[in-house]
Amino acid sequence: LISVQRGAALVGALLFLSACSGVIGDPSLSPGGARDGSELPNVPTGSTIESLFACDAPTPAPSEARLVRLSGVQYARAVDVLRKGRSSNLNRDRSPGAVSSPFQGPNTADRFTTRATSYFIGEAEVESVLQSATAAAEELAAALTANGASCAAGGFDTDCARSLIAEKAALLFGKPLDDAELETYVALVDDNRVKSLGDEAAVATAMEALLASPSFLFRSELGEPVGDGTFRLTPFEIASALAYTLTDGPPDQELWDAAMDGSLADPDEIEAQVTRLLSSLDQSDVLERFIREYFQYDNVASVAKEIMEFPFHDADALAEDTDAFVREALRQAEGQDLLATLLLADWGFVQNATAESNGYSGSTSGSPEMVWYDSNERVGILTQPSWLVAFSQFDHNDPIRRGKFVREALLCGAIPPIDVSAVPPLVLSEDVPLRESLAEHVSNETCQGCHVLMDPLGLGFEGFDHLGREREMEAGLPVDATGEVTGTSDQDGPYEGTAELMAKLAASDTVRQCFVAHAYEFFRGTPRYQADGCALTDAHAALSDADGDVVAAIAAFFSSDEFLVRVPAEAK
Amino acid sequence: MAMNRRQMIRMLGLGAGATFLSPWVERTLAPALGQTSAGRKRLIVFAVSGFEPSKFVPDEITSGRSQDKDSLPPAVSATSSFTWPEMFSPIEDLRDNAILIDGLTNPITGGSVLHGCGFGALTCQHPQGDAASLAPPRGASIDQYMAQTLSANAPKSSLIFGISHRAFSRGWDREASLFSAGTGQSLSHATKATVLRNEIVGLASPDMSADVEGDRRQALRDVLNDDFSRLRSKLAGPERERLDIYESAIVEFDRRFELRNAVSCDGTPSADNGSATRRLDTMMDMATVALECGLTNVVGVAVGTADSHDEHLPRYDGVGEIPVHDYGGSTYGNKMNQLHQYHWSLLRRTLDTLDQGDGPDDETYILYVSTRGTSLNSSHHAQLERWPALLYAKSSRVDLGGRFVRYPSRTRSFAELCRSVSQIAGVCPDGFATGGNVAGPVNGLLPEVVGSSQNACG
Repeated sequence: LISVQRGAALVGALLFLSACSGVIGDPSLSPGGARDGSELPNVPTGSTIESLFACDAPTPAPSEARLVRLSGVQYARAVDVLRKGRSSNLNRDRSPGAVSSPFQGPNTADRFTTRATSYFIGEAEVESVLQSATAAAEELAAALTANGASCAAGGFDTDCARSLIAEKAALLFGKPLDDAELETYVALVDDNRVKSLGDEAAVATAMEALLASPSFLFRSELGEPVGDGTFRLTPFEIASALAYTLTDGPPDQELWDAAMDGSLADPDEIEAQVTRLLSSLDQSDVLERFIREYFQYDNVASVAKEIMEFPFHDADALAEDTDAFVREALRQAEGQDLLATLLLADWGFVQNATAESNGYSGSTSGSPEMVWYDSNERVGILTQPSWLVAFSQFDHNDPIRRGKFVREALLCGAIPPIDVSAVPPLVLSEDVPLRESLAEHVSNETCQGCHVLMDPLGLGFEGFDHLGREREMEAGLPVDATGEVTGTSDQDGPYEGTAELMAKLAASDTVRQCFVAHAYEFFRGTPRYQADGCALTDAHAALSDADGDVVAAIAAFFSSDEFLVRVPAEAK
Repeated sequence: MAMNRRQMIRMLGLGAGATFLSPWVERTLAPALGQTSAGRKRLIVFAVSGFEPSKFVPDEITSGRSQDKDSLPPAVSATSSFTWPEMFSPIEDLRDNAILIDGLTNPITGGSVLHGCGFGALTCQHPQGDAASLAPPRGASIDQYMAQTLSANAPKSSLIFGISHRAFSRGWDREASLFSAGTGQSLSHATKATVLRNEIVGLASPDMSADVEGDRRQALRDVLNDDFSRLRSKLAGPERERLDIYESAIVEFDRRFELRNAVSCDGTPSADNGSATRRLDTMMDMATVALECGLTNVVGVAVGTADSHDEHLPRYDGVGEIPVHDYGGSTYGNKMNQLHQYHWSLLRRTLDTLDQGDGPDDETYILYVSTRGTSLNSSHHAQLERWPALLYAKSSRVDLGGRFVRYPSRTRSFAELCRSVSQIAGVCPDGFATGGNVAGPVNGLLPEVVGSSQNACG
């Protein structure tokens, strides 16, 4: 598997990977982020789940007021609604929208692409934003002023303009305009600089202003003052937050009505709306994206493989299989324990292009089809070839990164930073199992501080090779996939093989808490804060009470005071 | 036909995938209106996934011509006594304006060892990886840094585009990783010819009713200003700053929009999204138009530079798929040779076109680089060793002398080459490549490159 000739190269690779550095210890995964934006120091030992879920303050700490820029898909769907009107029922349309995104792609450097503070509209994007506004506005104005369409059919005047602007602004801004705001836009239509261009151009300019407005491009979570120095989100802000976060589009009619009649101010109604919006999990693009980003299996395409030597390897197809796996898990987990399904499923999806990677000898087709694995070891999403490859190196396994993932993503542990220059190189050989080479440097005092947190977890996947295939031998010896789980509140102890490791992780309440913490980060679009311990605690309780139904945890996020109560950013 | 901006945008919608016109270089450009070309400085940064050492290192310099991953070849003093590499044959008669550079390091610490992680040009930071990878410098890449000066008064700061094979085979937005796209990096790029055309024509089209459109935009801006003011009053700290960034971007957009009135670009070719060859060909033609007419002075091009280069190299007509891991193999080497020759045939076309309208003080710089060095001291491709580059400079102040130079191992960095290019173009590089996360020298200037212009920044 590992050629001697490659040994020298592997020295550097493992030096890099084995480094107990701040690079391995990703600050964004630690619970140490403070509300003021500073990073608290990583906790140097084991799990930090307790500090993450600490809930001993007398009152919940409010979040900061903020703006959240729409994503490309959200923008496109909002423009669609502008054209077609508000959806009367749940929008299950998976199309990206008729217009293309004016924004650059998501920021993949963050742990989750939903982190709101990563998105701006700078010089690089403003041109496409304004061009999109112009084009959409002109098309819309032509339709609105056409014969027989809208109030303009009876003769365009100021009242007609006011009516059109009020209707369209409510769709885009997610709230009815107050009189002063409305008259600002109406005045634009009557402005001589615009009026002289004709009715259609005047309406187009008003629509262009709406589409270029920061009130559309950034949804707000600012709130209204409640008298104690804090602010409470308005029903319209809540409606937009739920709709854009959970459906990637503006509020549908039922959610809008709940905002209009004020019922959405009630946390119980919020929970009901979240439950409704996520009523068909396997239809939820957002949940699917959360799981994809949480497990990071789509990084499979970023790990180069020797395609001359392994022509069967198809990274895209492997990712497609796991996408299908996730959708099926979401379908099966309707009202059930999603995390357990993800971690323990003994089935998967295989297609022609991935049969060899999966070691599957049955019949397959050109698209992913559900199969039950013969293997006792291929259990759950972490044994999907896509995940195993995503956490591998060019030509060998990467138990360090696999273990690091489990430590940080499933156990919410932190890897302490250590000066990389102090780490001695590790030499690999095809004649020596990787475990033995790793043991040499784990025994080194300089390295063991962090590797003891990673290697015993990552070595549990040694029953698979760097291409995701199951294997029994390595370097002429039977594979040793034993290890030890540490840092949990309930499942610490040795394991033998991937299936046992998965069983321990799936049974651990620590893992369940960590899953909640990551879901919170994704759906709230913020880093995890220690001050949100009460919200996390409540969400974890909701998840447990609902037998693992993730919808209950998400509903708890959005009905918590940590979400509903805000303070201005500078007050911090 | 003159038309206003809105009409041009509509036309673009109709024109998507329109018939490919004959190469733009065959036609005559309308002279730029209201903008003198005297003393213009232009920069093209062209990044490609991979150089084959046996084709890059001249025949007479036998060491370092193979993909030897386990040793660094010895340094080579600058020499011009060598056979010009075939991969750059389209500019052999211009070799005195160029220098081949070997042995640069590109020392980013931390993060992934994947492709697209070069520091300094187009991809100056890790497009993916953990947050620590995004530690400083994380600032603008050299093309964007220099564009702040070179294109300060052009309608477009820069054009940036690229092609990749894989991106067209699946729905994933891999094209984004042709360029860095992380926090703090502001790049807008096109990977389809129609998109690039949209960017060019959207700004460059002459406007029959500039005054009327200006008045309309001002009325619109007045309303937006009210909106910004209302929101700003409710925000503080970093949230207010995010709002300010958008408002400032609109102001800058309007400023550059006005500048378009001084520019006339005629004959912008139709976009062609067909084969990789046609896509790059037509996009380079558009870029040439933009450089010639003063729409911008900076162009960036990336070819197959996405994170994983498996199948990312475009399949040009007559070249086809390149077995990217067949290092040292004749098929790989010969096909890479063809690939680079094709790129330089396009660049030569651009140079010839620009030369036609250039005055004695006009300058053109091309930085042609790999997105990676050879594979020493890391698995697969490290961004560490032997970063190959060709610098072309057409300037009366610069004499590159057609030389080849290889620096001693780990003594000079790619960032230094970037700073040198900036220096000789008269853009002081003080603000470029400062800060940490770079484990090698960044502050020096390469004497072979900078030469007598070393004191240009005072």
